[in-house]
Amino acid sequence: MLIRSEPSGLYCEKGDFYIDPSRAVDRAVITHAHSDHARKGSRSYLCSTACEPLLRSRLGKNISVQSMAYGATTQINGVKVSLHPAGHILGSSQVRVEYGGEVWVASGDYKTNPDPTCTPFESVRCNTFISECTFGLPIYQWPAPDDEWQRMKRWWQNNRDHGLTSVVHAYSLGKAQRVLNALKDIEAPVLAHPSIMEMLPAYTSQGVSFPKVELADADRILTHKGKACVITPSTTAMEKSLGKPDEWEATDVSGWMQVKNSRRKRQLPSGFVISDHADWNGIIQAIKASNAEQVYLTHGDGTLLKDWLCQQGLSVALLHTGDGRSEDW
Amino acid sequence: MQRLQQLVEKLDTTSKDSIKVEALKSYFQSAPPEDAAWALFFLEERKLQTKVSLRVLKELVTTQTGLPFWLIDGSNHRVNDYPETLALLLPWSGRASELSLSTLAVQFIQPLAGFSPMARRDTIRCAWENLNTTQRVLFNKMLTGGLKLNVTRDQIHTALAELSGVSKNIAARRLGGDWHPQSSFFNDLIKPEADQERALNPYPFATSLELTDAPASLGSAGEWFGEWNLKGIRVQLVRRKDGSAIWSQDMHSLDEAFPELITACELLPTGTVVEGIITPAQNEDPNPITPLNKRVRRKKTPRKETIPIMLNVQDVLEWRGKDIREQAFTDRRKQLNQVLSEWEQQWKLHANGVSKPSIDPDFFQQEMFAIDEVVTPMPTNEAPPLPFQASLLETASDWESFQEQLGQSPPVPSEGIILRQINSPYASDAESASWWLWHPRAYKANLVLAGIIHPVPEKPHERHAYLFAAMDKGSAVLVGNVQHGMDPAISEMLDAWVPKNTTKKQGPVHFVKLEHVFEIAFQEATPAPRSAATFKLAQPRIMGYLANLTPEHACQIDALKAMGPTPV
Repeated sequence: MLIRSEPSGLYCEKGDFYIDPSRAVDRAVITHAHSDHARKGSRSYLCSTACEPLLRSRLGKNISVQSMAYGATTQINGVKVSLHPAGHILGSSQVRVEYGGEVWVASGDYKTNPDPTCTPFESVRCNTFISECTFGLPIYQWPAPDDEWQRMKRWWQNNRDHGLTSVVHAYSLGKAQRVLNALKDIEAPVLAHPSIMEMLPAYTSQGVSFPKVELADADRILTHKGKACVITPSTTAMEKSLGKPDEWEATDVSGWMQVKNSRRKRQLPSGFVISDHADWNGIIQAIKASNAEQVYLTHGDGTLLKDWLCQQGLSVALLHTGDGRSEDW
Repeated sequence: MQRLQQLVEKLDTTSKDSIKVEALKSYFQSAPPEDAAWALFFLEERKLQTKVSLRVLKELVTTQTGLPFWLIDGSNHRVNDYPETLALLLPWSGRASELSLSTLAVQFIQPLAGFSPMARRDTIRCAWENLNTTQRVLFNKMLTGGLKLNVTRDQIHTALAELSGVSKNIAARRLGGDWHPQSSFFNDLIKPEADQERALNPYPFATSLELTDAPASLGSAGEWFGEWNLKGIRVQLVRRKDGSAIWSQDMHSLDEAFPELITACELLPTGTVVEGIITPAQNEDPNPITPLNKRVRRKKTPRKETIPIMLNVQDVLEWRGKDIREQAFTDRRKQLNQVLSEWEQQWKLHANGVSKPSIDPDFFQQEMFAIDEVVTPMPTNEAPPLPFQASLLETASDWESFQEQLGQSPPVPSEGIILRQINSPYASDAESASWWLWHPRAYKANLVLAGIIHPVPEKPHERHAYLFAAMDKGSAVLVGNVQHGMDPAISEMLDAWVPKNTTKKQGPVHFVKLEHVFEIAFQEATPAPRSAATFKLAQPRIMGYLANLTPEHACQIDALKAMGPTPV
């Protein structure tokens, strides 16, 4: 096995490096800057060019990072490593590893749906494909993102007409920027949590456009009460300024919102089905396009997907990595 | 369907009453009346007979998508609602649908039951093709008989009332009974109020407050009337010149459910409103609501009543056309006795007339010739049993004797005692309410805190409830949840403790480590076979936190079993 699963993450013994390790290691190849994939403390990091500023702002200015363009190749202890767009968030990559004529690709998190805030997914042919499967059930078929954004704008308008502040829960890196980008022609005062603001320059430097975004502090929330659209990972700190529960309306933007049961579990009356992960068809499409003889599923409960693919004649197995927690970040 | 989808979307994406009411209003305003009538049909959770089983739908999805049953079942594990799962499994579609709700209901759903299995499948497939994913969820639920929208009856009534300018009671009344979803029904529904309808309005029902302190806090016992708070349906009987009506507390018309009471009501002098509780005439079932609800929910009136009922009259609110709610309770009760004795006389006179077969004069002439041979039974003067009686009031000079008289096991199924101040008016708002609900013989048990139930997103303003367990030897058995009586200081302590000690999350329920024991008072513990908890506690209340007790000292489940409903 060129890449195997270890308690600390995917490990390539030939090249002596880890992909998205869950603890500090000597050499870490990072698929993207989300906290469940990029962790502090490793001696050196390798990531894509667009990922570097995000990684530095999350893990510290002084970490040792080598970044490279999509498609460029580097050698690590004689193993050829290249990064290819995964379409998950800005700078997200699939990791292609080649040694002795054998090619493995670890997908990291990916999506096949269009997203103007990052480079679209590119399928890479390989012998073995390690695919994520966060949404590996056929009930997850994403609606067209544009339809959902239209729906979200109607939701905001309706709230504004009733004098309610709209609050969109979105993870501070990736999802929040995607929401902001989609709302760029909205006529509302758009406020965002500091952790979201922090990531904006990295996006604008890559040519992603945003509406006028202001910092969501207590003063601004009060000033724009009843009309603003507030994007934040959590409302805990701002509940005081948002006012009584009947003065604002909250929503979530996530693939989990596809299912009413999940909305109920998250105690949200509403949700918009926008995910940065591939849906059922997306996963199957990516797996087939990789032309891999062996497929490993990780990052999600892939049992049913595995059984289904095996029934289709593919060779598929489950690979357990990390804590197995699946969030739609 | 486009319009219904938008309505459902709006109802689902808000937790605010006002937005929901407005969404309903704008739907009813913009939709063609036949669609609006069908929407109401489903909003009221009425069902259509379709003879479509889940299995048929699953097979259809399998043929459409190639997904095997095990994958459908596995997917449903996440969704926990087959109609939704099946809609999500079909190829996703976001297209706008041309089909109207009424066309879907009339052309596709209504005829299904009469179709052959083959035609049934084709019709469903055709409907799916014409609907988008969200609409398919709604359609599948209509088929399997469970379309529940995120809206309360009260919100529907408010929307209709605002739309038509009638009062909420009238809107509620117009929606009651048996009706067919068609445009004429909806047009009648939003007509302005007719004089006749206004003339049959009840009064807002009086409220009584929960008595948490000792009754001595109310002053001298001699100032109070006590009465068993019967389990049953609380109603007002309205008799005015335009007719008679029976209203339940939630403003539902019960005219059709209790025809014998309407007959009796016709015998009251016009300008009379009385209030009482309907119970079964043979009041032996510890849970009398179930048989009564059978009568409320039925579609057709049977020729002979299977469950005879009794109206226990408690109060008179209007007499000879005059609103007497401001009078002292004791005066109204005196008045009530007069009302009842007149009513009873009327009943005997009238009911006799009805019950005797009308006598054919020819019959007697024929009989004259053979009078000796035929033994004709003497027509009895006994009227059918009275369907009403005065409720039983108790008085006592001190609270101890009250407790003695009423603290025994109740003669009829009831939930506590209503205490009414002798001079109290009939007060409908909580601020001026002076009636109390007292539980003199509440049980007490020491139960272990097993979890916290957060309010569902549909009702975000509700307080969270605490889930308690009793011990069954070494293990804990869920007993029921309690919302009231938590000391704010303890509640604050728990807010900090719960997140650190949550063992399992299941929807809104956060299970916690078994550590804290509380004393819980409740009226009775009724077995709840269909719920996750073993018992349903009636009127439970947290009495206090028992810091020195560990779960091993908590109440055993066997002890709780003895605290069930009182056998009569």
